[in-house]
Amino acid sequence: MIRKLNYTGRIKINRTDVRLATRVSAGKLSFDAALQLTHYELPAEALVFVEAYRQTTWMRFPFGSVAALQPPSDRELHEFDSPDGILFRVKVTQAHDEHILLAAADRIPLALPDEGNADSESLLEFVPADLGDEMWQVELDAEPRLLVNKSAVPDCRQLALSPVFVALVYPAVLRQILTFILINHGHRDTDDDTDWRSKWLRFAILLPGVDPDIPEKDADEEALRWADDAVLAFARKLSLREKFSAAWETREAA
Amino acid sequence: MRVARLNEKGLTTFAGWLESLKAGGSLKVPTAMLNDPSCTEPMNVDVNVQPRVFASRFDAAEYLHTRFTSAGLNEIERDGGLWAWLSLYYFDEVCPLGKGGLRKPGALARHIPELANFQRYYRHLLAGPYRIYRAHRDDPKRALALLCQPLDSPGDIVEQIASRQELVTNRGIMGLATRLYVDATTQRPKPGAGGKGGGSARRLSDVIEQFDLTWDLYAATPDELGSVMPKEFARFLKN
Repeated sequence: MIRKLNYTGRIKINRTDVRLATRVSAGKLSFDAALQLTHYELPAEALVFVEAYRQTTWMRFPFGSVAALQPPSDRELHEFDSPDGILFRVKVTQAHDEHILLAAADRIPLALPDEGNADSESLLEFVPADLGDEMWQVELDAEPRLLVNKSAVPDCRQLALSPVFVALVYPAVLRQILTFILINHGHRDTDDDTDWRSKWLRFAILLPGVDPDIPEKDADEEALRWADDAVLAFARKLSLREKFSAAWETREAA
Repeated sequence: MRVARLNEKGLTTFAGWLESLKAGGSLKVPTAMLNDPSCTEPMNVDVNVQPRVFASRFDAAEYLHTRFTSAGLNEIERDGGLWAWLSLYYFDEVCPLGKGGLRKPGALARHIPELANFQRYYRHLLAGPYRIYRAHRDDPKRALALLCQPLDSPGDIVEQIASRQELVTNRGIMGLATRLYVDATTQRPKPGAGGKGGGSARRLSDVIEQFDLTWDLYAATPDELGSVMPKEFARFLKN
């Protein structure tokens, strides 16, 4: 119930703490949101919502709490026919009274759409290779390349796209690449569009829930934990466990 | 008749005719354009509409929503050529002959939607009610405050509320607006709901704007909102 009128302490969330991007996959438009709210003086249990709107079209998505952001698995913008002109707002409300608004950011535009897996394809080159009895490797001499054993199955490209392979291999690939960038190279810059390392770090930062502040160069353990968080966010974003289970069940039923 | 959309030439011709109509030009509606291949382009899906007399904005929105939904067309809100074609087809409804046998088409945006203009997009006389109906399609009667008016004269309640995205999409607010401003018996706007007086739609917009700074009104019910409205709204809540 609405109980009082005199609450005026709403916090303004900076736009730099809200990163939004759309994806188009199989013709369906959805979005990813990376929110950074922990440095605001907000109750840990306060609820977070993201709203997408354009004129009379509007959708709302619960994103968990300030301390435990949890984007919903379904972030499809099915009410919208295109990403043109969609704006977002983020609201934080009291946990025990959702009417009380604690913090908000409004009129946040989208980043440019990420068409399908175009970004990941451009970031990670796929290479059929002779690997003997080893199924895959990540080549890190220069820009990372994923080598996949070309003689294990008739079509190794199909293998690399299969849900089981994606679920088991790609998180490990991401962890290996991020570790290489952070530890071996000590690289932290995310703004250099010409540097493949910056592109990979930016890819990680844009994953929902990943801290945009990468730990400093002399904090290797923290950096590795940050990479772990990014891998977890990557797996969550792609619903890898769910896809793996579904593929496994199909295989067993066959 | 099979629905189509006006193409660039069709839109230009229609707009030109509307301007000439305002200037006292020919009253004859250029309906020949409706199936002129040089002025139209076909829809991807077959949709047919019939000549109708619409009793209200609700009536028109419900009819069009039903037609489009049954044809599998849901993403048409931003199809300007389609809405212009429909305006031309239903021109006697959206711009009927008035006193002295004259038509008063008003602003161009009432007939050819200005989709990118957030201050005018809702003014299209067919797309406007359709959008509101679709936004509340789980219970369209909730939005009757914005849909109970005659098709050709939306009036001040629509102007004050439909222009505000956070109002027009909010279920609680729309439920409250309908409770405040629609006569349950006649299903028409209550006297005084428009204008600038106490408790009017204009004041509702102002008050909600203040509430919006403090509350997340998404989950608020019409009852909750009604219980905290200033006294000036009491006269509308009682009736």
